[in-house]
Amino acid sequence: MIRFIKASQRLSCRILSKESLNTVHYATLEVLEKTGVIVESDKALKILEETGCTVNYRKRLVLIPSYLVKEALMKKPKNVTLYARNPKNDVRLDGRHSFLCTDGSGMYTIDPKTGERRASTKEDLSISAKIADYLDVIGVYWPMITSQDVPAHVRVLHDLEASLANTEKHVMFETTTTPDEARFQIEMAALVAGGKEELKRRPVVSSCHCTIAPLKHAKGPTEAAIEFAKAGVPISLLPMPQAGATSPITLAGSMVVSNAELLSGLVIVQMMAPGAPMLYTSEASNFDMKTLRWCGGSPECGLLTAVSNELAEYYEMPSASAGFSTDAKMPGAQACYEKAVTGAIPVFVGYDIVGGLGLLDACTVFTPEQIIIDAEIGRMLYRLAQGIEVNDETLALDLIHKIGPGGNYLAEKHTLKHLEKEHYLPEISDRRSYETWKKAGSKTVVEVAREKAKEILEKHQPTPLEKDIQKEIGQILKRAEKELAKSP
Amino acid sequence: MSENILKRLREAVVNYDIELAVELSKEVIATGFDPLKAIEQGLGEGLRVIGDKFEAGEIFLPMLMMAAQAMKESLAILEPALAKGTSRKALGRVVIGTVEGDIHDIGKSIVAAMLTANGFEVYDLGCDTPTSKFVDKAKEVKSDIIGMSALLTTTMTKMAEVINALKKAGLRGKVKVIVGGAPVSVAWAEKIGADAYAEDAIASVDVAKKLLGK
Repeated sequence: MIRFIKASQRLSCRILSKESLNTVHYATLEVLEKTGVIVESDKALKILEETGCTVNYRKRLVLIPSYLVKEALMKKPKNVTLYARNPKNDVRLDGRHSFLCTDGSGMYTIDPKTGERRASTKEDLSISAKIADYLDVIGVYWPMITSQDVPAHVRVLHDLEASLANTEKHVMFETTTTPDEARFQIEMAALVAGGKEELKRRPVVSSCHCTIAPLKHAKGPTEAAIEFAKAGVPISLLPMPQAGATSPITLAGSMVVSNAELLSGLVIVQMMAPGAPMLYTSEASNFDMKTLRWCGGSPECGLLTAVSNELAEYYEMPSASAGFSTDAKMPGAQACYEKAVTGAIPVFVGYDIVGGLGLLDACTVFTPEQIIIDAEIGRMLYRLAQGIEVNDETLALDLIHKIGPGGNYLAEKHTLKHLEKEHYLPEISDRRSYETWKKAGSKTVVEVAREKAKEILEKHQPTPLEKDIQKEIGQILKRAEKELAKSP
Repeated sequence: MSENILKRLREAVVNYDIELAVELSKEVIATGFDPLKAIEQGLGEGLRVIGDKFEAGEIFLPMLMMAAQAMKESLAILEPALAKGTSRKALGRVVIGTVEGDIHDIGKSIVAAMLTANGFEVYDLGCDTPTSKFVDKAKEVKSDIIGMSALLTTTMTKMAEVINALKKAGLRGKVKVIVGGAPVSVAWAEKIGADAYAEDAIASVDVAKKLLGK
């Protein structure tokens, strides 16, 4: 698994000055104190009132004083490790390294056999996990699609089962919407981690919960987040305001709404589970006023993504981003240029986790070849972000002298030693001559990626879960199928 | 012992370890082991493995070049020790160079390394090679093939000059001519009466083999 080194100071870009970040921060505090947020969980409302918030139970409106935000920020840890069922895949978010993560929670698959778009299945999900497990550029696996061929009330559990069974990497999921689902998921994760205490020590999963723009925390996801936080599972809250529709059209105003949702969520979680590991995430973007859709590949999305990382650094929290998003419906030119642009931002601003690899059409459609293409784009971007290292070894003056004018550097140890670090070595991009390319079948990169995905699936088999763990997970699924059917 | 040294020679080349290959070649001489066997079944075998690996895209060019260099430096030690009248078996002998007036060296050097790796005996004349030098060397080593490279439209005409000189020297019937380089094409090869055009270093091996019926 590749730990990418973050972009050097000179290469990394900054959108907001320290002053502007302060302004956004204090503006957010003002919103939390004066406008407040709606919290639909009675359980959370009670705790928030006890800790000093002003609660209007009829409206479920909570006004949060600034000192509580400060307190919550003090309680959360700075560095977080996302553990994996195979410890060699542990992802340590130390602020200096960056990891790529798959995109997740899509609904469709472009069927590799027919080329048609259809509802995604548990088998598709297993396939996506296997490919992600194989690709060393992927640090974290987010279940890429949902299993729509299983009963809806246990879907998230099937998604988790297929993920844990088919990748040895950390699994970060997003779709849990009730505390009951969370409890079953915690049971499953604990089995894989080796018990509830082990899960607290080495959480092999993490959970992401959407807030509802503007300024709302829904009951189910909030209570689920609290369950996870108490079990030691890292949490991220994911605001997704759409500038112009669910937040002001101005990007600064959208940032404040997103940040207010995030910080109020932080207060809820830290007051109920002090010290719970949390990530800072936001998928704020703009709302397209012609097509009425959230934009995943727009420049505004890029700017808001960049600023979200600056806020994460401001609050000393690990950051996770979207990125590599596209509105294209099929793999090809639009997907590639939008993904290169929207991927460049999170890589260059220095996110701890850069997500979004592998899905199309505003994060909804999975196709095996796209993740292979995105992995290539990702590696290229990180190579750019590394810049040029200048020291005695890289200047190689002794070697230049040894070879002298007219020689060549091909048979030199120095060449071999630095080849893979200095030069980006393409996996699928074609650099052959026209004739050779033509002779080899004139394949487009999409075809090459498709073949590579097929090859990976034929060859790669992640270590399966132990037999008795598989069995116990099966029993949990059966139990959940009955019990969750009863809940409202 | 004998199998062991052959295996070690093979591995030294496969691991593109120049120092080790040289050291082992000295050991061959010191212990009185058959140098021809060391070349053919040791070094040569290793070089074929590395050539195949490169073609399969498993290794990078510097590894191939280092392996070829290991072969070259070992031959310098082993060849003088060969019994008079014996010579190593090769797929064929190739004299190669960049034509006169052209100082582009690298492509031709890679072709030389590829041919060496695939079992040819290669004499690299370097770049800016006078026409007479091609002819003299071909005569001297009884070469089967002459490979010429040109990277400039202004120097590629020298290729025709070499072919004419070969004819005059009465060698044209014995020596096949392969041409290559950025401005060179199949059409150009036909126009000047060369036997073949090789598009790149990898293609050159097949082209050379085909010309010699191997």
